[in-house]
Amino acid sequence: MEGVEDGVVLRVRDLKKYFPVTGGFFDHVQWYVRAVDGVSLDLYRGQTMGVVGESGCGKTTLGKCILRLEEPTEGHIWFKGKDLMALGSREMQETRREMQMLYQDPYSSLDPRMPVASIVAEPLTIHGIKGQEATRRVEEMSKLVGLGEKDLSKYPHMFSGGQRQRVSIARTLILNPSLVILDEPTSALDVSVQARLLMLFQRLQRALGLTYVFISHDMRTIAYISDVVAVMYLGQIVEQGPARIVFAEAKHPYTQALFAAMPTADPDRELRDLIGVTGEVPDPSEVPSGCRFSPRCAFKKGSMCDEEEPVLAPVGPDHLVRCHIYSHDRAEVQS
Amino acid sequence: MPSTPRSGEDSAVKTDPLVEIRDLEVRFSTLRGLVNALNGVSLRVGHQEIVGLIGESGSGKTVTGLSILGVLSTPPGITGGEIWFEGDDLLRMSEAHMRRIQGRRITMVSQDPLSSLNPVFTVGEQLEDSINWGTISKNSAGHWATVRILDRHTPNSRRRIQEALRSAASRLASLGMPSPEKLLRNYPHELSGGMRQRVLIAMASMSGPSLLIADEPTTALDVTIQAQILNLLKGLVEDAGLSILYISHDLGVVAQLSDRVAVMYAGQIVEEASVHTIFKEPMHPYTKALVEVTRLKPGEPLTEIPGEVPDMIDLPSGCYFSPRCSEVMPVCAELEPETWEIDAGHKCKCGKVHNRWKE
Amino acid sequence: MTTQHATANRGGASGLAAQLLSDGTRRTFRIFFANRLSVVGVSIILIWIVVAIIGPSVAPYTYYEQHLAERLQPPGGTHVLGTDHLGRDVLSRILWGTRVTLTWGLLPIVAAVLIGVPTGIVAGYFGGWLGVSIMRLADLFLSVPALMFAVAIAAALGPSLSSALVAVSLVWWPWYTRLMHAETLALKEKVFVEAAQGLGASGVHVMLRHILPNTVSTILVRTSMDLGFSVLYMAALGFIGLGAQPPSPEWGLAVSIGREYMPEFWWMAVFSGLAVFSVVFGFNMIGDGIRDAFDPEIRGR
Repeated sequence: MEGVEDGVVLRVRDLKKYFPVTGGFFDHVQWYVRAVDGVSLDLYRGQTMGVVGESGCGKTTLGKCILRLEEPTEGHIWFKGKDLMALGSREMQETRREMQMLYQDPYSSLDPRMPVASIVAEPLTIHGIKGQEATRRVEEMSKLVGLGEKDLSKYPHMFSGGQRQRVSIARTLILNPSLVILDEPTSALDVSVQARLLMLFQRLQRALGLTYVFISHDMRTIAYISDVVAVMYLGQIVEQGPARIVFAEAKHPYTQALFAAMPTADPDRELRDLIGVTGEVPDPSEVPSGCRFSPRCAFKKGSMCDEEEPVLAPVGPDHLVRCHIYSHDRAEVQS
Repeated sequence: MPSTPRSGEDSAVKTDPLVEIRDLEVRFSTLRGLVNALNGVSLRVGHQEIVGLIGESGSGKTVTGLSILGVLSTPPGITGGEIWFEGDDLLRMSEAHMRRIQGRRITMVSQDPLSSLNPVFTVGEQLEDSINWGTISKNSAGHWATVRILDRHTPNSRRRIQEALRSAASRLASLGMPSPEKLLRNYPHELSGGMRQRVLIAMASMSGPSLLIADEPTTALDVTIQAQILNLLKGLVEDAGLSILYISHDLGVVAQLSDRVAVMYAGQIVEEASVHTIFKEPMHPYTKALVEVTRLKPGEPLTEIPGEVPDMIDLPSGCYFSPRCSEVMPVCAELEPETWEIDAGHKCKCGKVHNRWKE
Repeated sequence: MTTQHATANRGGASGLAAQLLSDGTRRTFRIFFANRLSVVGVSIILIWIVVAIIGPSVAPYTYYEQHLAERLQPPGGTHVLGTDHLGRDVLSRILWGTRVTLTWGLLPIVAAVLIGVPTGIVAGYFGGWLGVSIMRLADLFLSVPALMFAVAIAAALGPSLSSALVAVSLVWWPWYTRLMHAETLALKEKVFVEAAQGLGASGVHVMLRHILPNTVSTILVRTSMDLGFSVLYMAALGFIGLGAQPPSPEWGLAVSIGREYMPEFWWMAVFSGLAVFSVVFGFNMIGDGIRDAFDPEIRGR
């Protein structure tokens, strides 16, 4: 069985999630939206993997598939050595205690009719932990995330976005998961609040030994918080590697474009350097043939890019890129 | 037309600005009490200039934009101050006169293009209407949006419309939009977010306004599309000779786009200067903190701004930022600092910086 | 302080109660009582509730005592509201009748809620063939005109208060099913529901702890509007003779009997009719008030 190596918390191999699109008179399946199309990754304990990409790239779907909140169409997921795809619903329920998700929108991810204490305690209630033990853990967790005792009896609408995310975090962590998938947890918040939450995430990671999958569209946040990073485009990872390396030496044209398009607080930078990529972010139900990025790629090599799909190939230690420019030998990544 | 110079220094404040807001005060009465949304806002926008208005949520930046447009609905609304535009005080103008300005001389694009466009008309039809009629009102969802208001249909408007449509098509084409004529025949929901925003911007610039208020127009867009839109806006200033008041919480965008920047906190402008000064040599503690926070450097600890934004119903005495300020002095909690021009074109509202306080 | 959280922590009823008494609820009360008509409505109903409780004790006569020598006496004198054709005191019959009319008038709504709400939520949450079956069944019941349906059922079951109850309940439950189905569909999409599912919550947990509490305001608005009409329906069935049976002092039945003596001996029908009218009016005013109190636009100001 794969993934038994010490320290590998999550191993994903060739994960695919296709959504059928029905249409026509008899509601038959016309085509598929290939939301996640062959994603593989390894995540070690205590690491943060940043998953970055624009809308339609499949990063949120990937997060949900890892937790089996969406059923993957194909592929394998090993969590702490256990093959998730082979688990029945009862065992999956048990395993869910150790893998949790933190949602983006602090405004709709909390039940407006529940006081904070109930919200934070809910995971305990669901898994049968009640009474004194539950109360103790709620208080402990609240303190850890920076909520006051007075806050516990209040309702979500009384809090700011940042504070609500803290409630969300407390709820997510109260069962002591090993793996946490954070789906754009700071995107809806003000910059100063984002900073505080990011620091909280790091503190909690060190204190509780957590492993993170941090999903975002914001390169700066990803650059700050990730140990390893995966750049996604239209359901595939196009570049992957240690954050330091990917950000210092981005190879894939899309990664480079993301950097180029990202505004920095540097007024000396000319606006025209802020190049967008030409064209629109394409519809994931209409995937171009060959390299998916080729219609918008400024460094297109010619007809090969339109006809042949490139594979992820190493360009440096642990650094993989999916681009014909680099994979002349078409060396395949070993599973 | 000459392109807007992006000087690194604070050039002398332009005489005869396009827009001048003086001591604007806005209040809203709610169930919980009177919200002091704007507390003495003063701001200038020059000709062919992009002014970035930065602030976090609740700072009052959107309210400022809406006040200029004259579309605040919650009473009492504007309770003090003046807004001078092309020689007239907008706040003391007749309704009829104001209607001629809204949507024509001053236009707006805001965050959500889908709620701003009428879903049952094609994009081309709406563009045509925006030339013919004005563009600002409140749509059924309660959002400020580009809809239509009445105006007279003049004889040569047909020709004007055709010309304007042609120029809109060519402008869209020049930005890499494939087949803009086909685009004009689409319905809003058939277009992507970026396309819709371009349409909105086209609509907002059709009537030849002098001021375009852009309220977070790229927040909901992917970063690569955002870059395209920002370039489009920059191009508008050069081609159409208008000014933009760009309201945002995204310092990066404002840094790339603006000529001058104003920073808002709790309904006041705490610092106003050229973009270079704001980002390289900020003076106000809040501005300094914001700029620091934006510089996320991997491995380095992040600056925090402790505390929370104040309750706009129950504002603290003295300087509103003092409870969270890292350079606070005892006097800051007692007296409100003056807004003082510490350098040519550089205004700051911090007592520690210039030692001038209000009685 | 710890007890406060502990209350909130406990699952089940007390947790539910904590959820319902949020300060949003306090706000609702404030807006409700600011409305003059709501206050009028509440007063009327409160008065009738008091009457229902103490009526039989304070009434000068019982509802069945016959004073044949004093038959058909107009209002005034010893019989404040007059007597009916059997010499029974009209005022006393109305006072005694309050209990019957109110309790049996409101029971159909209770039944409708108890049947309709769970079925609607289950249909909305699970969907699939279960959902479709429930909704089609509801449609079936809804396709028959309400009053005719009630009459048919009550007639088939034999005239009595319990048949009337069954009839009106059967007519009414699908409205709640439909309402809850729509609400559940909307709530199912909310992120906090998804979050609960992600935590491993069972369907029952999600429905009880997340969906139901968030529908309470909708149910309340609907129920408050329905209460008046339920009383009216039961009285109507009594009027036709398919509900309460003589000698019950139920108001609908009293109007029916009194009708035969109109117009010279008007007081029997008129006073019983006015009683029904006031109750329905009172509940309607309360219903309007509740609806307004929950209206987001009014609250937002």
